[in-house]
Amino acid sequence: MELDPRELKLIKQAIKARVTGCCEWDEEEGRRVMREYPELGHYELTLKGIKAILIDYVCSSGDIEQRREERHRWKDEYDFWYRAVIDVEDIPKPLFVEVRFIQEGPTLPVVRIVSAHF
Amino acid sequence: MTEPIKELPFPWPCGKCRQQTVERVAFPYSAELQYDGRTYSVEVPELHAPRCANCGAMILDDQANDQITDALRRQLGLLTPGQIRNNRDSLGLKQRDFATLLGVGESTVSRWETGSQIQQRSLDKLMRIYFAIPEVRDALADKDGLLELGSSVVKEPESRPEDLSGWVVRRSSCTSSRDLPHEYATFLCSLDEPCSSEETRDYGFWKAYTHLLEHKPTRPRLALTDKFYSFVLRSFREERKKPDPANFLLENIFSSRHDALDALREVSPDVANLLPLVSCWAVLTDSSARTQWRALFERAVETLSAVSAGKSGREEEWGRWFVAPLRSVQSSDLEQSARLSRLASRLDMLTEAKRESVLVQYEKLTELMVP
Repeated sequence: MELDPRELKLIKQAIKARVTGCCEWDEEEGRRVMREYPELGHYELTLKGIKAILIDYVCSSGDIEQRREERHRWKDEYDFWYRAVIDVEDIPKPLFVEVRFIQEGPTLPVVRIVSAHF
Repeated sequence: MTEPIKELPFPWPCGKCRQQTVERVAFPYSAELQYDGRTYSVEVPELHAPRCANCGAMILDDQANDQITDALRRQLGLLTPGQIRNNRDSLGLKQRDFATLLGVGESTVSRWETGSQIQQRSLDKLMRIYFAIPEVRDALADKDGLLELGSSVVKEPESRPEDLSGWVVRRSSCTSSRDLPHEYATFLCSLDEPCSSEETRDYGFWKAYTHLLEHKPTRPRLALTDKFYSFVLRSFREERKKPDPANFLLENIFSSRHDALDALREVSPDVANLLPLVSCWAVLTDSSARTQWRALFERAVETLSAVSAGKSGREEEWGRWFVAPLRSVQSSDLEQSARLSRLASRLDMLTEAKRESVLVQYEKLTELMVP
């Protein structure tokens, strides 16, 4: 399957919109991330903080990478997944953030953040 | 021109069931959060968060996240983002300046104040004292002065027996303090540590002091320090609250006036060496010890009086100082039976070996005190 530049554009649009509801954490995945990646806790980053870092990164022309979904768990639901690898000031390791496309929407596209780790 | 929207109109799409059924609702919420390497259970009685009416999946937007992290902050007693920002503002500091003072990045301060990052506990404490105490702000602002703070190390007493931690000083041309009897050195070091019981400390005290007396002829250049005398004084003050002329005497002997003993030592070393020990012993023990102590004390007074006769200055002052408590003791009616009872109970609390040792030492003392 070919990559989908249009969907990638919608992803960026949703993140850059800075509108509540367009780019939010999935609660279940957020809790999983905090449980499975204690390094996030080491830097005391909150889920809100991770979202803010992602938005600032994309708004500063940071790159979002589109990848074909091949993981068994998600394969039937999503064609692609999206990731950003972000250098965060004061934190020595780059932050990896994973995003999924949910809907184009009548006014703005909607995405969900589903993972983050160093 | 239309106003840019701040929030997507509800209902939102659900990422799980894909239905357009997500609404903001209030409900009780609990979660386990990591902080400082530990997991904390956090309860929010009424979390306002978007939730799917169809499948129950939740979305954590900023408002919900703030509620949860605020609950964690309250539980841990940490400053809130608003408190950090308001305190910084009230001091007229920009984020950059505040970050420099604390030794963190400007972005970190920004993240604290927006709730994107929870400050570490140590930094939370630093911020609290920085906001509250002007002297701390001055100290952190003074780069050069800051380098000096804490640079002089407070030396902790070491556990090696040869380290006497200030209990004994060497006078000129003295041999090493390592030459002191091992038991004595160990005991002196143990005075720096919390004592298991008063009995143990008293026992050790007598034992060490006896050692000192016994070894004194071969260790002429060693002297006990103010620290030692202060320790003894404190011990006796703690133990005996009732006013007692003998205690008054002890306090003076072991406090600032022990230089009188040094003067006495120059003219009558035997009396000077025994006087403090026998005085202490007399307070604790029976009438016979007290009688001996009085005899010894009178000898001390005579000696000092002889020395100070026709002189003015320190010697005369020392003589007067010794006489006053002696008269006080002589005129008092001491409760000997109570003291005997106390001594008996003390001995009962010691092990048999230690009890024997105490009694042997007491006999030695008695022999030493015979003129």
